[in-house]
Amino acid sequence: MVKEHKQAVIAQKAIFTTGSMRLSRVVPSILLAILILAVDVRFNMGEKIKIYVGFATEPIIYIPQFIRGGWISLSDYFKDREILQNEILRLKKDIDSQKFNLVNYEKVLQENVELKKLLGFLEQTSKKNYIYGEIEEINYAPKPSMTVGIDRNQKADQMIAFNWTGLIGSVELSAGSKVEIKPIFAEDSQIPIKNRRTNSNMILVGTDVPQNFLIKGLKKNEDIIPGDKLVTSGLGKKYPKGINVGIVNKISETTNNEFLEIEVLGTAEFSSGDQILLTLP
Amino acid sequence: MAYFSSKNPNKTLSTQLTIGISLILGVFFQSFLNFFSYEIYGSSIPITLMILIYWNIALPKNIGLSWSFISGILLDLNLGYFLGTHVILFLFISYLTQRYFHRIRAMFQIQQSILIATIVILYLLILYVFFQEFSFFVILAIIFNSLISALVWPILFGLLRLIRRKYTHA
Repeated sequence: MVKEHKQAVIAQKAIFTTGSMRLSRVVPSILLAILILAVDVRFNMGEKIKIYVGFATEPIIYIPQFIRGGWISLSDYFKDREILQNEILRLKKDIDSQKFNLVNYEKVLQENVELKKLLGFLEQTSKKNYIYGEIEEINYAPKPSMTVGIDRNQKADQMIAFNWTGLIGSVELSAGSKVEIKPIFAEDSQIPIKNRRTNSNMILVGTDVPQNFLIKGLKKNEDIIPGDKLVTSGLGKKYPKGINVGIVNKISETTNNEFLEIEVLGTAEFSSGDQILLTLP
Repeated sequence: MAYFSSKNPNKTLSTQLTIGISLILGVFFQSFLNFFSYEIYGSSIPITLMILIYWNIALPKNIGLSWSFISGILLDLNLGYFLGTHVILFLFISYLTQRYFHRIRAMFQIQQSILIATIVILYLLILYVFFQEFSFFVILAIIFNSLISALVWPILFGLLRLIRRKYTHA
């Protein structure tokens, strides 16, 4: 308010005040300007001056054009850059999608390989009943086991389990859509086998270590050598006949014992693959 | 140039340089704007005139009439008018603003803007009526430019005041 009042007072005083500029000072200049204008209009004398000035100031005249051109180039550059960036982003997305497709394709390929192998194992069983399932969980403690998901309305009791590498175990528990597999290398597991080379029967005992078995109770005079292939004998009807389970790895003799201690390397890898074939022996 | 006489001790070189540079820049900027507005009836806001009016109001004793003459000639050469066209207009407007600078200084910002708009309308009308083809679109361009000038004036005023305080000793 105070400021506005002060402004108003100044304005009131200023109405009656004029500057020192007089018309007599400006008239000569205006007359000179009129004379220049008249000469320029009549004799076009300003043209030469304009040409000379034009030559002298040519670079200045081109500055706006230069700036305009530069601006257009700059905007084009950024526009092109934006287009390129968008294209790169699109291609990156495309690559990601292709990678995803590739992963899916590899997965499908692996599944096909697994299923083909599993079909091969199915040929060696009675083919009375079989179920395909997918591995859901593998545990090694407190004791090794595998949970497999199957269709809810299927019964998997007393079935044996194959993955694409071979025989891996038998069904211990079946509830709804879950099946618990007990591996063949479990410590309390005993599998009737025979030596493919000599056809002599023996019992394969698990050790709780994957792909590691023992054969006990064989006398020192038994015909067995490292590298002998061992297959299921089918005795006891728990496992089908003729399935590869392992190769004799190491044979050791103890001095105070008349039996041999034989270590066997299992053929099947318990945790390999995704697909599981459950079948009756 | 009698107007640059050293009778007034406040007319220092830095003041004249500041005024001169700002006016030359104004001429350049106006030519620049004219170049870009060629497609919209070849008119632009008269920055040079507005700068001249500011210096006439702010430093009437320092500016004299020489700078009106020089900037007018430069603008005529740059914009392609007959030599003297802008000189006459600038001299006349300089005379009026120097004569009544007390009153203009005392005005509020909005009043100053209205005054600038009026001066710009008259200036552009004279330019177009006497030196160019006149049409309906020219009237629109004049009104548009005067409105823009009125809006630009407070900004230009603040900017030039800042420059005056920093670079002149008047």
